[in-house]
Amino acid sequence: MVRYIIRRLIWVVILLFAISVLTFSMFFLLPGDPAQQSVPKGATPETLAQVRHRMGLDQPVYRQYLNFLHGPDLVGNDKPSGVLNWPPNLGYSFRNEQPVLDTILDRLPVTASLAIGAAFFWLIIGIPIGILAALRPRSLRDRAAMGFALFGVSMPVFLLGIGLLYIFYFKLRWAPAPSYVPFWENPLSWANHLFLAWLTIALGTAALYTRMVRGNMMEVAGEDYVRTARAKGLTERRVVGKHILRSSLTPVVTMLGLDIGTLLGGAIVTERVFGLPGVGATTISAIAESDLPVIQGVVLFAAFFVIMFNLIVDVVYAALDPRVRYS
Amino acid sequence: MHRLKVVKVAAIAACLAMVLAACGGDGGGETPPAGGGAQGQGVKGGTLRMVANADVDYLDTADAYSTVGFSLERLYSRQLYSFDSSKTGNELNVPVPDLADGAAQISNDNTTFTFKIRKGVKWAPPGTGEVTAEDFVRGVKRMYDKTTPSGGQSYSNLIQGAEEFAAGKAKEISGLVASGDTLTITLKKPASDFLSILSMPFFSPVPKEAEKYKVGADYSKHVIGSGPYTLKEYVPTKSMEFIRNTNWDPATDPLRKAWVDRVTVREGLEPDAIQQTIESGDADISMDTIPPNAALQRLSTDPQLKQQFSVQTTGCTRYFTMGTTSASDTPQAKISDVKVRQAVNYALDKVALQRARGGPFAGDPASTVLTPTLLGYQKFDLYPSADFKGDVAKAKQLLTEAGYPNGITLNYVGTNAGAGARVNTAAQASLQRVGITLKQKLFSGFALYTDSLGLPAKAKEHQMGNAGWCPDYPGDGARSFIVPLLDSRSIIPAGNSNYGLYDNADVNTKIDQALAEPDQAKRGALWGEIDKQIMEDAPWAPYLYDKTQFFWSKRVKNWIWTAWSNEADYTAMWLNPNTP
Amino acid sequence: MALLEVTDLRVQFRTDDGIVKAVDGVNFSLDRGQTLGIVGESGSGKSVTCLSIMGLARGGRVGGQALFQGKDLLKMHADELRAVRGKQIAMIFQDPLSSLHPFYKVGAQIVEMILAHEKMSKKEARDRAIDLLRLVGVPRPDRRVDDYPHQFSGGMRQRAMIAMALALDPAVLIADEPTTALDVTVQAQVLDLIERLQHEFGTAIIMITHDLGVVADIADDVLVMYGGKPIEIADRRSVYYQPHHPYTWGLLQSIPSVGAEHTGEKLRAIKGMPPSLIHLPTGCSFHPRCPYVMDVCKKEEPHLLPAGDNGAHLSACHLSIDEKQRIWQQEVAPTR
Repeated sequence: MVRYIIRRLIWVVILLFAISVLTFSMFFLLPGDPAQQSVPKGATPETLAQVRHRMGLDQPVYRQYLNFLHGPDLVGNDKPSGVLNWPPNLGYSFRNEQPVLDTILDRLPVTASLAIGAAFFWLIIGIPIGILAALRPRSLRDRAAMGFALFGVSMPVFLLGIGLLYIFYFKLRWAPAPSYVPFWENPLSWANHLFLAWLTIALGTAALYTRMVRGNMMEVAGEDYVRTARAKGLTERRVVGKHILRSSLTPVVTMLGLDIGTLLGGAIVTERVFGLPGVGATTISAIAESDLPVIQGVVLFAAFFVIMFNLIVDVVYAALDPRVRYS
Repeated sequence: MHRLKVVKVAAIAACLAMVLAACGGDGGGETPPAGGGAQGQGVKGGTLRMVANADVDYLDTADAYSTVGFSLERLYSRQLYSFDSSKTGNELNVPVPDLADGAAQISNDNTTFTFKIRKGVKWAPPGTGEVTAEDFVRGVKRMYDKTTPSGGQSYSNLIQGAEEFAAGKAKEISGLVASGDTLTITLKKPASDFLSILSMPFFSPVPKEAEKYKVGADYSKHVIGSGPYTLKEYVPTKSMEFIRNTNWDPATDPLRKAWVDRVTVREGLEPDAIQQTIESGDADISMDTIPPNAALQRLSTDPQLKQQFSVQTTGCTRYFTMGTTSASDTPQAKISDVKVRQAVNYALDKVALQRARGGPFAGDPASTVLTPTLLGYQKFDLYPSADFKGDVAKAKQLLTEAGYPNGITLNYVGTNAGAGARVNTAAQASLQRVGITLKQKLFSGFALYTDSLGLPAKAKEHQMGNAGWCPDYPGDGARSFIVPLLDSRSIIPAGNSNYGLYDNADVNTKIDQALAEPDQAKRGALWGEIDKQIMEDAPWAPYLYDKTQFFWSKRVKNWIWTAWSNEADYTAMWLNPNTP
Repeated sequence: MALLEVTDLRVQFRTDDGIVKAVDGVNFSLDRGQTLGIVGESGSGKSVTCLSIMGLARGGRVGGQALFQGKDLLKMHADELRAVRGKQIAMIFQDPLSSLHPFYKVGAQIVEMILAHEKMSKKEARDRAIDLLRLVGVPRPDRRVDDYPHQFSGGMRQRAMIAMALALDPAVLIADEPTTALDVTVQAQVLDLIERLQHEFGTAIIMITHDLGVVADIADDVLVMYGGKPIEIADRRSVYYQPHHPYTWGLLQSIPSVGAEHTGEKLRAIKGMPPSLIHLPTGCSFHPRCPYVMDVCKKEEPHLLPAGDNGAHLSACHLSIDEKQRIWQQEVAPTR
C-alpha cells in the first residue's frame, strides 16, 4: 500500500510539472501583451521596455519558465521566489503587488467553506432521495426523484443562484445580503450567509448523486450476493442497509472526493453571484484585468487539488474495497 | 483621457457599459442637476458602504486614471486647486483654490504660476507633519517612475524641465521649484487651462513616508491622506476601508464636508446583486456599476425610488472615426474624400444608434466634437436630418458626387460584445440604406484599440471605427479631448488616439491659440470655431452624448454629481439614519 | 408426511416480449435425509423451481403449493418465510465468488447469518463459524475466518458457502449447480463433502445440475426437466439403467467417457437448441429435437405416466412402454 502511494505521488509531481508547462505556454499563444496592458496609453517605447523588463517578459520563454520554477526575488525579501522554493511562489502579481500564493491563501477559506458546506448538503439531499427511489422502482416517488434529478442537472447554476437570491433575499428578506462572514467571527452568521450559496451548488450536484445512488442500488440489488443475503434469511432492512448500500455507496465516495477537489479550485459562478471573495472570484478578476500570474497560479493550484484528491480518493477506495487492496 | 475606463470595468458585468438615460425625448434634464445640493442639514457619522463589481486601477495618486480612481481620491487627496461641488451650472466646472492659500499668482505671459501652500493641513498617520511645497514636487516626480509610469505625464510634460527629468538628464524638474511654503511652476508654453490640469489628482502632494513604497500597486495599498480620510486597508480585488484622517482640520478644507466617519468597499459582486443590495438598504452606493437595464424604468418612475436615482450627461462622446488620408484608402473606397465622410454623417440614423446603446437613458444624439460639459460647446449640426434619423437622399447625392453612385464598401472595426455589438448592427443598417456596406472586423474589449485603432499602420483596416472618449476634466478640458484625438501632432506609431490621422494645420494653429488664450470668453469662442471647422472636414461622425445613471440607497442624502470625476462627491453626502 | 411436498408449481414472468413460463407444473416430494436431483439444460426451469420455493424468484408470479412441514411456503408472510430461510431451508449457489459479498470477511458473513436466527454473543457465533470452516475442510480456519472471499480459491470458497449454509443445521439444503464453476477434481471433493455432511447431519438435499454424472452417486431420486416441464421422474437406478424418455437418453449419451476404448469417439450432443419459454413448441416441447418423433407428438402434449417398471417411475412421452424399452436396449444402451 505504501509503495502504491509513493508511486502515485511521483505521478502527481510529474503531472503538475506537465500542467505548469502547459499553462505557461498557453499564455504565450494568447493575443495581448500584459506589459502593454499595464502601461497608460501614450507611454513611450522606453517605458514599455522597462515595464517588460520588470515583469520579466523580455527574456526567452524557457528562461521565463525557469524563473517561474526557481526565480529571482520578486517579493522583496531577498529570497528566490519560484514554485520550487519555499514557500512555493506560484507567481507574482504586479497588479496586486503580492505573491500569487498569498492572494490564493487569502481567498481559500471562503472557497473551502463553500465546498464543504455544499458537499454536506448535496449528500444529505441527494443520497436519501436516491435510496428511496431505488427501493421502489417505477413508483410515484421514484418518478418524483428522477424529476428532481432532471431539474437539478438541467438548471444552470447562475440562474438558480440569481433566482434564489432574488426570492429569498430581495423579496422575502429571509436571507442576508450576499457577503462572507468568516467562521471564527461568528459561526452562525457564517452559515447563514453561505446557506443560499450552498443550496445553489448542492441542488445541482445532489441530482447527480441521486441518479448515481439509484442506479448503483438497482444494479447491486440484482447481484448474486444480495440473493444469498436474502436466502440467509436476513431482514430486508439488513439486506438493504448492509449489503446493498455498502456496495452502492462506495463509488459515491470517489465521486465525492473528486467533486470537492474540483470545487476547491473555485466555484466561479456561485462565488460571483453571491459576492463571495473566493478563489473563483479571484480568477474572474484576474481574467478581467489580464493578470496573467494570478491566472497561471490559480490554474496550477486548482490542478494540484484535483490531482491530490484523485489520489486520496483512490487510496480511500482501496480502503473500502478489499479486492482493490490486494491486487 | 482614458477611453471610458468605466466601460472596461462594467464590461464584465454583461453589456451594461454606459447605458445612460434621459427621461423623455429631449433628455428631460438631469435629475437631480449636477452640483448644488442642500447644505447645512447634514448628519455626521455612519459608514458609507460601497459595493463594487471590479477593482480600482490604482489608489496611488500618481497613477490612478479612471472614474473610480478619481472619485475615491476625493476622499483622501487634495490638490492645489479643486472643484467645489456646492456650485452649480458652469461654475461647477471652474476649479477653486484647495491647498493653495488664495488664488494663484499667474505671470503675464501665462507661463509661471506661483502658489502659497495653505498652512495647517496635516498628513494622516502614519504620515507626519504638514503638507509642504516639497510634497508637490515629490508627487510630480513620482509620475515618472520607470516601472509604473503615470498616464498623467502628458500633462506634467508641460512643465519646463520635466522631459529632461524623465530622460534622466536632470535630477530635478527645473520648472518645479519649492521654496518654503511657496511652489512655483513654470511651463514651457502658456496653458490657459493649467489650473484645471492641476486639479487632477495626478498633481496631489505625496508625503515623504511614501518613499518606502514602490509607485503604483504597492503604494496603492498604503496611501496616506491629506484630505478628510485616509486609507486603512486595501486588499486588491476584495475590499477597501477608508477611515477619518484624525489630523484633518475642517477649517482648512472648505470644499469637503466629510459627514460620514468611514467608507467601506466590497468588491466582486454582480450588477444584479449590487442593485438588490442597494435597494434593500444593505449597501449604500455602487463604486463602479450602473443599475441594470431592466431596472431603469422602475427606478425612474417609482415615487420613492426616483429620489434615489439620477441621470447625468457625462461629457463623454461616442462617435465613428474615419480615415482622412490616403493611408486609409483602399481601391474600392476612398475614405479620404471628404464627401464620403460627409455622406456617412448624413446617412446615420442616430436614434437607432441611441436605441442600440440603451435608449434615451443612454444619451442624446450628438453632432459636434465638443460635449456639453466642455467650454466652447455649442449645439449645431452641419449634417442635419429630421429627428436625427438621417438624410438618405443627401447622403446618396454626396456619394454620387464622390464617384460612388452604386455605393461603397468600408472596412469597419468595433467591439464584439455588449452595447458595442449592437451599435455595429445599427450602423450597418443605417448605412446600408444609402448603399454603404460595412466589412466588419470585431475585437474583444480593449484589443480594439491596442490591435487596430491605435496603430496607424493598420489605417486601411479601420477606415471606419466605433470609438468613445471622455475629457479628463470638464470646463477647460478641450485639451484632453481635441488634442489627442484630432491634432495631427499627437499621432504616434502605437497607442495612437488620432485614429483617422486627421491633419489640418489651420486647426492645429487655432488649437495652440486656444490653449494659450487667457480670456475665458475668447477661449470658448476659439474652441467653438475649431469644433465647426473640424466638423466641416468630417473626420468623425459623432452620434451620442453619453449619459450615465446612478442609484443610491434610501439613507444617502445630498448626492451631488460632478463632471470632475464623473461620479458623486463622496465628501458631500451624508447618511440619515447614520447607523451603521 | 413428507418434509417438502411441491404440488403443481407454476412460475411465470412478464416480459416485454410476452409471458415466460419458466416452470409449468412441477411436482415432487422430499423426505428427511433424502436427496433429489433436478436435472436439465439451461433454461429448463430447474433453478427457478427452487428459487421460487424460497421466495427468491424476483418478479415471478408463483402458483401451486409448496408444503414444508405442512405449511405452504408460497403463502407465508415475509417474516415467517425469513425465519425459514437459512435456518430450515438453506441454499448454496453456483458461483461462490459472486454469491458472497466482496466487502465483508467470510467469517463475518457466516456470523451474520447465525445471529440473524439465534441469540448468542458475537464471540460464540464466531467460534461456531470457525468450527464450521474446520468441518468443511478449510485449513487454518482460525485465520481464514478473517479473510475476504476473493482471497479463497474456488473450491475453498464453495466449502465456505457450504459451511455457511449448514451453520444452523437446516432440514433442507438446496444446492444450485454447486460444482459447475469448479475444476473436475475439486468438483469431486465438494460432492464428497456434501455427501459426508448429509450422512452426519441427516440433511435433505435438492441438487440442481445439468450434468447427470454429478447426481450419479448422490441422488436418491432424479427429476428431469425440459422447457419448464418435468419429463421424467425416477429413482436413481431407473434413470441410469432404464430411462424412458428420449431426452434422458440424449443426456446420458452426451456424458463424455474417459478411457482407452473411447478415444477417437465424437461427443454426442442432443441436436437442436432449448426452446423459447415464451413460444413453446406445440404438443411435446421436445419434439423438434427428438429422433423418434411421431405425428401425435406435434399435436398432443404427453402427460407424466407410469413407465411400467415401478409405480414411482413416471415419464411424459407418447412412445409406448415397449417401444421405449426396445429403443433403450437396442439402440442407446450399447453406445454408453
